[in-house]
Parts: sequence; C-alpha cells; structure tokens
Amino acid sequence: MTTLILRLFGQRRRAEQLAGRLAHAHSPLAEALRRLARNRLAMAAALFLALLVLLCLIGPYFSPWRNDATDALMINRPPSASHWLGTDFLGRDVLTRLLMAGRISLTVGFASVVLSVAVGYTLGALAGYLGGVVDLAVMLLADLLMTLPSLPLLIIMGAVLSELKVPPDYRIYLVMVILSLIGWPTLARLIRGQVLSLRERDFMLATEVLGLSTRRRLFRHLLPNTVPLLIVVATMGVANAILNEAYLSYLGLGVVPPTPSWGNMMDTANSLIDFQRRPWLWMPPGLAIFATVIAINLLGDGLRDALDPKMKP
Amino acid sequence: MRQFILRRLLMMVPTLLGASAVIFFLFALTPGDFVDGNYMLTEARSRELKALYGLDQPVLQRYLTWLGQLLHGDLGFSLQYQIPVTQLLDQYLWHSFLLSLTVLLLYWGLSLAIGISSALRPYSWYDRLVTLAVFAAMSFPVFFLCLLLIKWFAVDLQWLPVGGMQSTGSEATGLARIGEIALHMVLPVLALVMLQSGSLTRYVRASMLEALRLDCVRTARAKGLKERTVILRHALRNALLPLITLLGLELPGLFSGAIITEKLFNWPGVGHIHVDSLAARDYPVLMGFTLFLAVLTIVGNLLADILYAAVDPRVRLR
Amino acid sequence: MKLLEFDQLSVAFDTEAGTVRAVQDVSFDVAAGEVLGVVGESGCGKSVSALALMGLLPRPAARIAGSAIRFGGRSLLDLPADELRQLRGNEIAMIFQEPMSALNPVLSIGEQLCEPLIAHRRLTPRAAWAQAEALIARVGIARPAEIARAFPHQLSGGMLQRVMIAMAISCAPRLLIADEPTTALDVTIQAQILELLRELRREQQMAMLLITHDLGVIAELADRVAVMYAGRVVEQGPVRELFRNPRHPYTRGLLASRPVPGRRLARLAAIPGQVPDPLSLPPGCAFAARCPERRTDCEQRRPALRRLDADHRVACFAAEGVSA
Repeated sequence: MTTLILRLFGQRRRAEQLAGRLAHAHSPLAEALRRLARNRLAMAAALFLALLVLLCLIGPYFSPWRNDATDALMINRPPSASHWLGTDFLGRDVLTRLLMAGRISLTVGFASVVLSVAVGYTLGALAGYLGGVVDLAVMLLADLLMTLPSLPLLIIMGAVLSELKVPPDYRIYLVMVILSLIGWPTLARLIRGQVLSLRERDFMLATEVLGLSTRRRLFRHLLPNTVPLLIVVATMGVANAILNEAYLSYLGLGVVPPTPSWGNMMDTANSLIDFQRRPWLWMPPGLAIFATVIAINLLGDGLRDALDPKMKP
Repeated sequence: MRQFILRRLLMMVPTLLGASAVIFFLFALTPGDFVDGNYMLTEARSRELKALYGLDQPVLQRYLTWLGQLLHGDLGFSLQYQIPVTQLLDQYLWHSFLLSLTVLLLYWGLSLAIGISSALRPYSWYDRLVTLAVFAAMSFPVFFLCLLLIKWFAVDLQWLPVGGMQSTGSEATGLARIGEIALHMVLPVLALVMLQSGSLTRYVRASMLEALRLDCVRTARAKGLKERTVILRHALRNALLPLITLLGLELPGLFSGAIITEKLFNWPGVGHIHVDSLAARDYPVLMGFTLFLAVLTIVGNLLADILYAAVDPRVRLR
Repeated sequence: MKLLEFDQLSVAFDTEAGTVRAVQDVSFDVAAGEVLGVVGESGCGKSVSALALMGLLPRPAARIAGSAIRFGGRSLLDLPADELRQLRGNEIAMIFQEPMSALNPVLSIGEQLCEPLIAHRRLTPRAAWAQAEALIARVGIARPAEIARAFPHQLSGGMLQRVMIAMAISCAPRLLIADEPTTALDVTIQAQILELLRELRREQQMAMLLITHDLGVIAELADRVAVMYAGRVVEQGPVRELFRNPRHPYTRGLLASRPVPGRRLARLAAIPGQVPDPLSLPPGCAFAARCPERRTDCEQRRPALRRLDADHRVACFAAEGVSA
C-alpha cells in the first residue's frame, strides 16, 4: 500500500525501487544458500553428486580398460585386482562401463529436465500470466497428458522408437524428448499456480499502478519469484528422469546397447544365470541408480527447506 | 452434491475423447502391427488378415470404428490371445486387484503409523531415521528392489517362491491353495509396500506436523483433554483431510496393476499382460488397457473430490 | 489467600538464532474473583506467561527457570502432567485471540462444547449435549439447538468467541485467562463480548487474567493492572491509581497514545522507537532507548520493581527519584 501512496505524491523512482525491493524480498538467494550450507545431509548429498560427476567424467581416462574393448579370454570374470567389478559377457570391464553409463544416465536425466523446464516453465508462466484461451489450452493439454498413466505411456513411446529402428547414438536424444514429454505437465501446473498467486500480491499491483512495461513487470518482478519453486521441482525432476530412463532402458526400450546406461546394464539380470551367479553384472548399476537418485532427492529436499523456510516449524 | 457429480461426469466426456484420440493415434501411427510382426505369414495371408481386422482402412475411419465399439463396451479383440479384450482384462484384473488391495491396506497402515509417530517427535533420532528410510524408499528403482528380494529370499535363502501365483503344476484347493497364493504374494507385496510407503509416510508426517501446530489443538489441550484425545480426535482428524484426497486418487491403482513388479515376479496380473502385449504388438489390448487406465484416473480424481467434500464440513460442492 | 501467584517466573526459548528471553522475573498475583489486566505491546511476554501457567508451552524449546507459579496454594510447575491436565479447562480455563482458528473446523460446536464436560464432569454424552445447548444459550446465542449442530465456519467471529467463552466457563473455573479476547473482532462486537465477560464474572465470581494491548479493555474490566515491557513487569497497581497517576514513562506513553473521547488533542503522542530485539536485550532498563526521562545510568543498570504506595509498584529510577 505504501507504494501506492508514494505514487500519488509523484515519487515514481522511489516507488519503483520499493516495489523492486518487495519483489526481491521473497527470493533472498544468499540467505537460502546459507541455510542450505547448514544442512549436513543435503551438503553430503551435494558432495557425493559432485564426486560422482567428476568420477564419471574423468574416471574412464584413468582406467586401463577401454569402454568397448572386448576380451574373449576374460569373459564373465568375478571382481578381481585387475577388474575391480569384474567383466561382462564380452570381457568388457564392468567398472569402466559403469562410469561411461553414468555419463549417459546423468546426461539423459539432466537434459530431459532442461527440456521439460523449457517447455513446462514457458507454457506454465504464459498460461498463468495471460489467462484466457492460452491458459485453457495449455491446461487442457497438461491435464490430458497427466490423465494418461506415465509408465505405460513411456513404454509405448519407447516401443515406437524401437519400431522406427532409430540408431542407438541418435536414440538417446529421443529418449530425452520422451522423458521431458512426461515431465513438463506437472511443472507447468506448479508454475502456473505460482504465477497466478503472485499476480494477486500487492507488489505486482504496485508495478501495474506504476505503469511499468509488461516486459519489465514479467522479467524483473514476476518471474524471479518463481525461481525457488523452479529450482526445487527441477532438482526432484532430475531424480525422476533418471529413474524413468532406468525403467525404460531396463525394459530395453530406452537407451539401447552398445550405448551403455545404468538401466540397460541391469538388463543382464533378465538372464537367469547372470542373475543368480554373477551379481557383479547387475548390482553395481542398480546401486549407482539408487545412490544417485537418493542423493538428488536429499539435495532437493534441502533446497526446499532452504528456499522456503515456512516449511520448517 | 448430485449436481456436482453429474457435471463432473459430463466434463469427463471431452477429456476421455481427447485421451482416446491420443491413445489411438499413438498406436495407429506406430509403424508395424501384429500382422507385420509375424514373419510366418505369406503376403496374401497377411493382406487377408489385415482386411479381417480392418487394418487396411484409413486411420480416421478406424478411429471412428474403434470409438463406436467402445460405446458398446467393446474394447476390441486380442490378436494374441484370440479372446475379447474385456474378457482378457476380466481374467487377469482380479489377480492384480488382490495384490494391490493387500499392498494398499498394508502400506496405508504402515505409513500412517510411522508418519504420525515421527511427527510426534520431530527431529528426534527416530524421526531422522524415518526420513532417511523414506528417501531410500522413494529412490529405489522398482526392478532393482524386486531383483534384490528375489536374489536374497528366493534364490539364496530359498525361503519363498521366485514368482508366479501358485507353484507349477500345483492342484492345491481350499485352504492349502490360499496358503500357497499367500506365500507367493509375500515378496511382491513386500517390494510394493516398501516402495509406496515412502512418499505417503512423508506426506502423513508433514500433514500431522502441520495439524499439531493448529490453534485448535492448543485449545483442545487448554480444555484439559487427554493427550491421546488431543492427538487422535483433534490433530489427526485435521491431518487426515488432505490424505483422504490421496486415497481417492489411489483407488484406480487397485485395478491398474504394477507393470514392472508383476513382470518380475511373474504375477499373472494386468500389468504383466501389458508388457506381454507390447512384445507381441497386440495393439487392441494395449489400447483398451491404456484407455481403461485413463478412465480409472479420471474416476479417481472425481472420487477424491467427493471424498474430500464428505469429510470436510467446510467444503460444499457446487 | 491469593488464588494465583507468579513468583519470579522466567521463560526462555532456545532458537537457531540464539536464546530468546521472553519472560524475566515476572511476579504478580490474582485474588479470588479479581480481574488482573496485563498490558503491553505484542511480544512483551504476556501470552507466554499465560501459556506457562497452563503448561502449554512447547516443551523442549521453552525453558522455565528458577520460579514458581502457585494456583490455590499448589505449585503448578511441579505438578505431574496428568494432574495439571485435570486443572486445565476445569479450574483454569482459557480463551484465545482468534476464535476462527481456535475452534476445530471438523468438529461441530456441540461436540467441542461437550468435551470438557465429559472429561472433567464425567457427564454422559447425552447429558453433556443438553448442557452444551444450555451453555450456548447462556452466552447469548439464539437457537442453541441449531448452533450446537453447526460447524465453526458457519458462524461469525463474534458468535465463535461466545462459543469459546461458553466452552471456557462450562466447568465453572475459578480462573479464566482471556488472551486478547476482543482483538480479532469488530468494534461493536468487542463491546458485546466485554459486556458478556463482565456479566459472567459478576455472576460466577471467577477471577480473570485479562491479557490485552488495549487499555480501553483494561479500563472496562480490570481491577488491577500489570504493565509489561520486553518480558518484565515495569509497573503494577490498581487500575484507577495507574490511570490517574502513571509513574513509569512507558505507561505514560501508552496512556498518551490512547485517544480519549471528549478531549481535544491535536494529535496522539506515539512512543518513539521500537521494542528491543528479544535476542539481545540491553543490560540496563530495556525501555531506556525510547525513554524521554532517561538518566545517565539507565542503560547500564536495571531498576528493580519497587513499592511506591500501598499497592503501586514501578521499576524506574526516575519514578523512584520523584517519590524519594
């Protein structure tokens, strides 16, 4: 209300500064980071993820084994001093493959979330801000996609890819697209809700009274306030995408060999002998998925607590 | 109330139409079908078969035909099993239902008990342990958990059967049969309960924590009520409100089957059929089943709204 | 004998940011049938004192140190939880500021009214319901049978506060704690609620601890007043004496910032400055920074609560100087 009164007295600059301050008072990122740094579990998770990424990136260069080097004499060997996690049915080093697969799985998870954020955020913000027909259309589409159960839908789309005989190198990009197709409606919904509620707040009213341009109101005042929610949802989204990629690849419908991914490495468990006698083939990738996803979830939870202190008593 | 339900039922029509279109065209535009996938057939025979199943007609025509059949309750004819899809679903649905219902009861009970008890001692050791367990449950890939359970309890220790619903060739009847099925259910139920109780426990805990901070809970204490009464009658009732909505959303899941779990434990449910149909490109089954799931989801949403109105005196449906 | 005695009560909260000393060395008493008003700005420790008395402070977070609260001669702080619970809602009842949120939204008015009757009076549910309807009528609500079946969201704020009062008096308590009973209500409703409280007090002979920031409410109801500032009692005395002859500069500030009908005043005098941060209270008098009569050592030394007249106490060097 103060802003309106100031405006009446013609102190436009002052009022705009005030409106800006009010807008940013809701997203004090530095404060949030400080809170996050105090959360030991979340920091441990972040450290673990950083190490994991680093290991997947540079680990293979230090490995004496090449990713796709087969060795007919060293087939299905259990873990030993030279092959720490043993070898697979072509004599490839499982640890090296695990790290290479990590690159793929992490990239697919991350990239698909970037995609679904790009689509979901844009559509959600537009729907919330513009309302009317745009809102109706976007929400109808989102509702429709959310009505269809996600795993069957993923499976069908994966099957379509197989049917189209997409080459493996090219296929991982399509897998990213598929995963983001599943991910964006939830995000769009959340962002739309947030934008709708922000629009009604006093500081947005103030920017309107001040006669700021739509662009300025949108980019300086409205959207920055949706960033905390976006960060949290996107983080959790990566965890989900990695899990979904694993399901698809495990069923042979996502990333397919020879491109390694944690999901398709676990495919070996479908063979009875490998499953019963050679746990080093499928347990490491399973553990890798589990550890990565739990770390991302813990980090996301820490971020939520840090960005939205109201959640804590 | 009746008006509300009627209006919502009417609103379901366009959503279902949209869902049916998406499902149909997704499959129709997929290259290759059941006939193509069968290499044993001669050129002439496959053309004959395509004509028989109407696969040679234009896409829009086929969609309308399919839609027309749907209106008569006809979900199509399974190419792989050679029986109507509805009959197929009916055969396997109840196996899924048995599994899901057991899981639902167990994991709601478990989540409520753990969620409430950890909300009563927030930030204690117990609570921290629960939080960690919840995250672990939320982060486990389904198939990995199933594989681990099979490996440990069925293969290594040989305590429980590897999969299926009954032992191969078993002709047990009566109580013996029930016991046998129960034994086969232990591992899949364990896997599903572990996975699903994660997020629900978290939800219960958050909801309960919020309820315990309500002013009316303080009032209840100020009235000198027993702590048990304060928690069960005042806090819990308020905490349960949002959970009721969740329960409504869960109900369709009772019939949808768990795709990956059923496949891994070889449980003869609809989820298992789903994966098999995919391998055989038995599209009528897949289409019928996916549509069936969409209907369940929509009904679940409606159910959630109705339940919510039934338990919260503040909500009046219009 | 005094019905209620606060003897050097101190309450501190341990928070992430540090220790908040919400209440320090607070002493006052209430005789049977007497109304003691506790005034002060929000955050001065009024409500915390009341909740400490009820045993309703969140336990690990709040620390109650070296003090006693005596009710009818029994020390409440040493009482086993179960015995304290049997006092609550029975001999000591409390009404809160926000009637909207203080009542449970999912239980009917009647159900909530029955609870203390069943818990303390051991009435059968049927008898309790009849009694509940009688209580609703007693606090001046028409159509009690209908209201008993209603849910909180169907009633207005004033009605809900009446229901809260009905609930509080249901077991004929010896002490009623009213925490800002009229703050959340419209002005016309405020007067009605105060009237109801005054009537009940006369009729039932119950003592009241009336917590408010509104001196008008105090003037209406209280026999004696305790003025609190930053967790301490700074002045205490009979209501007439205190209004006529306020000795603490803070009390004077409060009185001066109150519009008095009929008196023409160019503008209301506001107390300059702000309440000190409860995380870092100054070593001396907490009011010193805002005090118009500040002396050199006010910021270093803290004045104790000293008796001036028969029942008038004040904690201020300036006031002592005048009387000395």
